Amino acid sequence: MPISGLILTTRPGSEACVLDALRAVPGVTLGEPMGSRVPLVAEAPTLRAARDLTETLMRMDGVAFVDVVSVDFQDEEL
Amino acid sequence: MQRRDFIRSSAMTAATLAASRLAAEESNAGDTPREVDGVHFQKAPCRFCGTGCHVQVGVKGGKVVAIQGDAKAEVNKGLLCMKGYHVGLALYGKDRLTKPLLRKNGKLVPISWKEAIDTIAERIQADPKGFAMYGSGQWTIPEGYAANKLVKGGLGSNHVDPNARLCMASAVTGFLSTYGVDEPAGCYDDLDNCDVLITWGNNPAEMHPVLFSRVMDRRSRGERVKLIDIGTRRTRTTEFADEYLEFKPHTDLAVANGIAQQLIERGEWDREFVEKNCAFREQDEPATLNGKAMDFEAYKAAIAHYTPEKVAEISGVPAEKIRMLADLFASKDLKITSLWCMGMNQHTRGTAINNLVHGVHLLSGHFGRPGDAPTSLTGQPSACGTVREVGTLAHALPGGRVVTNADHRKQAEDIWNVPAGRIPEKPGYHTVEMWKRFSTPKDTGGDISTIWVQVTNPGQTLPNLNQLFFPSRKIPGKFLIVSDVYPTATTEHADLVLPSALWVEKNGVFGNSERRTQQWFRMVKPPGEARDDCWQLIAVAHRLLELGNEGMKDRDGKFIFHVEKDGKAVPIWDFAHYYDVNVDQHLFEEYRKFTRLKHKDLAPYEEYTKARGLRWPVVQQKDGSWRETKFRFASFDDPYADKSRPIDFYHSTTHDHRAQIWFRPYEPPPESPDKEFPFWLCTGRVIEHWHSGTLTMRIPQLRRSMPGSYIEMHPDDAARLRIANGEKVLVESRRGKLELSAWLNGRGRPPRGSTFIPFFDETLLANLLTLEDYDPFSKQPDYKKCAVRIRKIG
Repeated sequence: MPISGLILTTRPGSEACVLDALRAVPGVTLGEPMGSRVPLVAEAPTLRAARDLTETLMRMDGVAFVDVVSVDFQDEEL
Repeated sequence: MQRRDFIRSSAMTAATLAASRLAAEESNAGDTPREVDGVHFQKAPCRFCGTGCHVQVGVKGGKVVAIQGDAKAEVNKGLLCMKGYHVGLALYGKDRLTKPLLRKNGKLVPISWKEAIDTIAERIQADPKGFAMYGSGQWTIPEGYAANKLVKGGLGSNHVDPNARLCMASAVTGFLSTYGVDEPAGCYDDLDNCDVLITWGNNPAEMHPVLFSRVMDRRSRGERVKLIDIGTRRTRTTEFADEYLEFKPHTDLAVANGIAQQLIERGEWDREFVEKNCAFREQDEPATLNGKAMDFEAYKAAIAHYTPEKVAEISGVPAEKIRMLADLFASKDLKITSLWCMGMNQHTRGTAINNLVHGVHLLSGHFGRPGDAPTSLTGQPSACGTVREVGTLAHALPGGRVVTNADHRKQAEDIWNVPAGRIPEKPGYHTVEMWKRFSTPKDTGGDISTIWVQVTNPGQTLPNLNQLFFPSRKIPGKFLIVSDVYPTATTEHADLVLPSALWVEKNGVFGNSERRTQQWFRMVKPPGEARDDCWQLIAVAHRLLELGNEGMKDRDGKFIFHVEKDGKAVPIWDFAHYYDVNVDQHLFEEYRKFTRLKHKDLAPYEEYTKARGLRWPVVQQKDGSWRETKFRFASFDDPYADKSRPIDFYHSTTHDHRAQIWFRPYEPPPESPDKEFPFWLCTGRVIEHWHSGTLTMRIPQLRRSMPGSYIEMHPDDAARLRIANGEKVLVESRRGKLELSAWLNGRGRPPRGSTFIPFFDETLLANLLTLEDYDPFSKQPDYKKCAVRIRKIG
């Protein structure tokens, strides 16, 4: 099960609603927001699902960017 | 703590640290753990594009199992894009090439490495002048250096050219004819400092996402960064733009001339900067890269034709938008960075449009301050390092030297310690010419009989494949050798296939788009019998030596790749001994001697093992440390600039410290839509796939996200042709045809009359359609425009 560390950047004025929406996304653990940046951990059953999850985050209203910081796929069958 | 909890905690720590550094605008603080949960981490630049992000590669049990953005890397500040996220998986596609394969009776069959090396050496020995090497901007610096030395210094032939000829050669000729020396003066720090970012036919949001994120991140901090996208089709970059200026294909020259015309007409050009630092230039007859001098009045008269209204008529960009651009360049308080990549380079007027964008910056004085820079990006990880700096182009030698200059040839012969006169003064064949001659029978001028391809995929990426690639496969006596990591559209047609090591399966050094040289060590072993490309070159050179090829000996009678350890020769041509020494370090230190010849100084190899890359020139300080250079020609930063002047173009083509502002007129393209072929076709990349997809199509997550090619069309054009979204269409040019699915209102949105096809799909070859016409100076073909027709199938 891949575990990814991500930083999500919100658009100005969207911080609160993005955080609310993120809390409802399965597999996402939020870190402490720093201004417009939200560190988070995303867990998904497969790499495909991890990518889909990241895409979902990118498409969320109020999200400007999603950057990847780390990915661990040592349990994934290659 | 459970292992998963530990990994989760590590991921959150890494993300939080990276976010806090971004929030504090720090780029170089903190470190990455070297050992986490039994996973050993080491640094490496990413294998994909020319951005040059650094990653921390996690290895456990002999396999790459984790990737982290490198927190110490100034380029990416701990962040990665979606391709970087998957870079570790590129090693583990199920169909890696693991044995040398020779075509016998029409089939590729496994052979030994000895037979493979013998076969290559014997072909070269039989016809050394008919041999050509075709490499790439994915060659590491030592690999490209070894190939250059083998062919130019050993075989006495200049037939070496890289695929980078197809992607950034026009940037090279643009820099050379403007400043007298290649590569950007500025660096990525300009992105952190500019007030205005202009993307000229460039889509960094998808092609260089970490750099684009770096700019957008400034906006998220509340900084005002005006983004102007000048393009022929709406892209993801356009979505973030304050202004989108859509021009008719090929007319970017008119747009740039229009800005210059306005600056001159209004008297808003930077008179002081230009009078101190610039001269004017126009094309001579016959045309040469240096052109001929013109005075300011002649320049003013020539440019006067490009009024905003005239430019609007040529380009379709409204006159008020040309005036808006001129307003920006006339504002001395603003800092303006221009970015470009393939849109300006893959252009039959590529050198000219490069000259013009440099010219607009020079004319307006938007040059030399952090944030004020004309900056080209590259698409490959070492297009700058291996191609432009090592000089693996057919006319070049390492360190900014050229084969046509007798002094430069002597310098190279002396450093290589090969006999005087070894390097021919005539340039070898550039890419299009090389492949044209390979696809022509010998008795009608096809004097290239053997091509050895490393680290690239010309069977998919050459333009007009039906002319440049496929004919050779039916001509007796033509022999194609391909070193690669996976089966490709090129290996499929090869006579001999060599399995290569990939990325962290070998030592390496890359040079990115901002003059940053980056090193890494081998971390895992390649599969099966796959071996380093550099070893393959050295093994063939040694076999040639055994066959009596005198070119493989230096002036002292030693092998040209002679390496010693503890006073004893190391047989590095035998793979069992290749890693007894660090061959990369040996080659790099030899190459370093070239880099001081044109102020492209590199530090010793050891320095790069510690740094996340250093930007050249890297000059040693009095305290023994090594200092990189961010802003070339600016005397506050460049150690070679004359400190008595703020800007010093010390490689001026006119030897008077001046850069050249060119007048380059708009001229129509070689092929435009007409009644028979009524649509423009543009080709390019998509965010999921990198270049021909050899690596990214092996990553299931990326392949599933974008499994096949398509053609983007405007909905009105599709409606007129009764084509619905997803329906199959036949796309035809004068050179070939292709069946594709139509995509309407996709991620890229071409205007009416224009289409776009990505080139990553080896089953749907976009380059069956493209044009091989090229820029007269850079010899770079135009993949961005040709004429096609489209009809619904069925």
